[in-house]
Amino acid sequence: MAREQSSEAAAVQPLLEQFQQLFFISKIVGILPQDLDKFRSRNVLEKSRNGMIYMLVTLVVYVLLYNVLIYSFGEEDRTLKASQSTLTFVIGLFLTYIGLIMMGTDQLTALRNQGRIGELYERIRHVDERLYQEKCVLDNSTIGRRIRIMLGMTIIFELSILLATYIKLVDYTQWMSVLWLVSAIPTFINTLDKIWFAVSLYALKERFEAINATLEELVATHEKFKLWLRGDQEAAAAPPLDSSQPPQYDSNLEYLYKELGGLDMGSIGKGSSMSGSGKNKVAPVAHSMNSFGEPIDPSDKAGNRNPMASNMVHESELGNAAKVEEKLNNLCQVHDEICEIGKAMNELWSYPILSLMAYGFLIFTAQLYFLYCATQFQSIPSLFRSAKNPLITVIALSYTSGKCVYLIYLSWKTSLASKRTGISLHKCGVVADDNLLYEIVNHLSLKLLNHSVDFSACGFFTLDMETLYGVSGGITSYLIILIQFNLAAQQAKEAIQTFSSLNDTAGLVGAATDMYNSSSTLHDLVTTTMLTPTG
Amino acid sequence: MSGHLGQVLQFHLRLYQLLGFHGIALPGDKSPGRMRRRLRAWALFLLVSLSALVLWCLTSNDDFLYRGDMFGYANDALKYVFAELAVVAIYVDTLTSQRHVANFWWLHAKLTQRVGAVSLRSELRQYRRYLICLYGMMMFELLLHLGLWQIQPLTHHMALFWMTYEPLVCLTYMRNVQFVLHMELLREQLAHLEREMVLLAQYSKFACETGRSFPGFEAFLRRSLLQKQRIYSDVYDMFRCFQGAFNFSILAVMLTINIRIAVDCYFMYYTIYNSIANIDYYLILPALLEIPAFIYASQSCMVIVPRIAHQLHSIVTDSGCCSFPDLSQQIQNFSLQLLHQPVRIDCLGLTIMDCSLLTRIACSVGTYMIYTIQFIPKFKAPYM
Repeated sequence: MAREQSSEAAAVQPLLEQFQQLFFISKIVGILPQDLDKFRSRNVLEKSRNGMIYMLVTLVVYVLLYNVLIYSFGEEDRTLKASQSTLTFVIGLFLTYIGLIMMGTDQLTALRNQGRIGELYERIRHVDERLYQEKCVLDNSTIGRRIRIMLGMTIIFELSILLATYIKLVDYTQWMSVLWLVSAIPTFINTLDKIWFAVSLYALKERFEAINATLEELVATHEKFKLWLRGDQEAAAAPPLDSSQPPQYDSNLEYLYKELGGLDMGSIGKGSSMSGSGKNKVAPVAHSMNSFGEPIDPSDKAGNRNPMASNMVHESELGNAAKVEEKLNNLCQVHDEICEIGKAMNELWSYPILSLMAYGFLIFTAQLYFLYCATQFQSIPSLFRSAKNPLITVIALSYTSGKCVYLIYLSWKTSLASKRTGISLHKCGVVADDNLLYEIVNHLSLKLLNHSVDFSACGFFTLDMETLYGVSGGITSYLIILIQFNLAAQQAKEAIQTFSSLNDTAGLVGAATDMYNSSSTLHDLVTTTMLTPTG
Repeated sequence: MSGHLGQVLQFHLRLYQLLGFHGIALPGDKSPGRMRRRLRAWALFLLVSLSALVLWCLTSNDDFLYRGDMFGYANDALKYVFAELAVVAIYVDTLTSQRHVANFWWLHAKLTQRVGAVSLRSELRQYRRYLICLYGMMMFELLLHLGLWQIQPLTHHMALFWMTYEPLVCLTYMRNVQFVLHMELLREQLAHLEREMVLLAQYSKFACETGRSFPGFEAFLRRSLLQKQRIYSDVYDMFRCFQGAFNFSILAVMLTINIRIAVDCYFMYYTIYNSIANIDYYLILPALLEIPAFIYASQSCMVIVPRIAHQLHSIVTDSGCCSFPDLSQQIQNFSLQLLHQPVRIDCLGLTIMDCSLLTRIACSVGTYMIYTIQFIPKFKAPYM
């Protein structure tokens, strides 16, 4: 028994094995305090005192460097303060530290969570083992690839923003300009931290999908089993129709069979390999019906299913209610466990996600506003100098928004995948049409309804697409309001200048028309300054 | 030979094929594979040429965009950019989601039991909402254009702008009506299912009240419920195919129409405020009708599922003379299935497409108008 256990454990690759490079980089830049050697040798995340000290030191160093950066580049701001509008100045001041706050949240949360993260991955490993017992093997190599892609994209984005800004917009003849490199640290650290979250979330989503696929496979096998039974009994005399299927579909749907066949190579390949006779003609299509929706790797599916189909076509698990009860129960328990892991994970990362979303919203609005200011030839805070170039702004904005939107999208997708299990479960019930099974399905279905996983940022807002809709509306409104204030402030400033110059000339000439003009400008000045608190 | 689709559907799908919106072959076509490839190439060609047109309009020195002030100029550019976005989304959807579309029509054919030929008249009645939507909109747009250019002298800017912008507008409208068609087909299936549930409910009530049932009555009811469950599952899959096939274009088309309404409302105010003799803002009237047409179709699709659940629970499972535990279990199962599979039309989960969206759109256009109206005196200021 013990040997069996160990062999199973060996067959299931721990998820953390894919995180090697990511962990190494995170450890160096000081995002995770856990022990490096233990991770390398045993793929576990364990607390480490040295790591903690190292991380605190990095945090202090980053904060110091960033402050030096702000101080040295702030020189320009102080000289420019008179020329730039108060609004721009205040926004710049307010947002100076937001990147640092975000980075601090990430690092401090990682310190707080250092014991619990390891636990989380341990739980995922247990889930994998249980899934393995239910004959559903997960392929973690896609996760490794995903991590590499994300790392690559992060580095490309960071480098392109940093280098483009440095070359185009920083005066690199002074040696102090090297400090500009520090400006990329907060976002880089934040992104690395979010890669951990995103990839772990993606792993959960894959596990939900594996459960769904197992259930769908039960359905598909049972359908084939029923067809086979019917074919046996009726000796292929009558057309093999389900009660729900319309007659004469064959001639009518010929063209769509070809369509689906051409489009879905996986299912047609299997169909031709196992049909051969007329009665199985439905199988490929019925099967492709079950599997559309989520994009599936055809080669993977064919590899998984072909041996199954050839073995199991004469017996179906769904035919035996007592046997399938255990399987369904187990799958639902695993589903619950994954939901719980999802909730735990969401809790661990709740503050970093909240700070990231706040950062994303504020920086997106501010960057666009500064871009507008730059197009009007107004000066902008020196930390946001990337807004002077539209192309760099576009890259920076797509980097920031890409991070936020991807997290939201992934949370939404994971939540959807967890909800889809109920649908697959009902398909099992309906296709088996057995009283005992209905009882089980009804019970489990209620359980699933009560166990849904929804991700949120500290409970302030849920991470789903509706939030995105709201946020994009908010950004547009704020941007328009800011631009209006800016316009008003500029006009007020110009009005003052016109007024003072007019005053000089009016004293000399004293013409009635000029007086009229100046009074109208005065009126303008009063109305515009009434509108803006910054003028 | 129109196959099983019926003349009306066949004709309109052919029309969508011509516009590059429908990427798969129709029944009766020879060699669907080649047809599909050709349609794909055609969609790609249309995408490239329309994008080139938009690019040319945006970069040309000619009077395509309004030159009166910067904000008007930006607004016109915004209209072009969003129209381009819609065009890209539409054709990319056509190019990439052929499988969803094919699945949709496959399920539709599977669910539609039709015996013999159906007369044109009954088909027209069947699709009347869609037809009214399509032809009403086309006529309205055409009449408005004809009438308007009689009254309004055509300036150089207007001629250039409308000649290039109008095709894009028409494409988004046609795509919108295509969504309406698909949602009508969905609604029809759901409505059919609801009617059958009503019959079942009435039948069970009648049998229980009068005690006139036959042996195996419970088994009969249970089997027909099971069949309905399977049909619902297929309809739900159809709905998912619809979502998969049109997600991005629904978003893009709605956004484009919305932006156009907001921008044209601004121009309307602007022309009235500056008393410019120009009334081409009347051309937004059809756009104002497009969004309600879509929302009405999706809303009427979504309201049926709760009604099905209601009918399901009004099936009598036990009364004085008979009690059916198995049937009750089946009803529970179906009810749970309905809870798990709600038909909720939302574009990419962003926002649900029901009447509350109309309110929100009205609010957002109103807010945007207020913001933009505030700009007008600032642009008019002498020192700008």
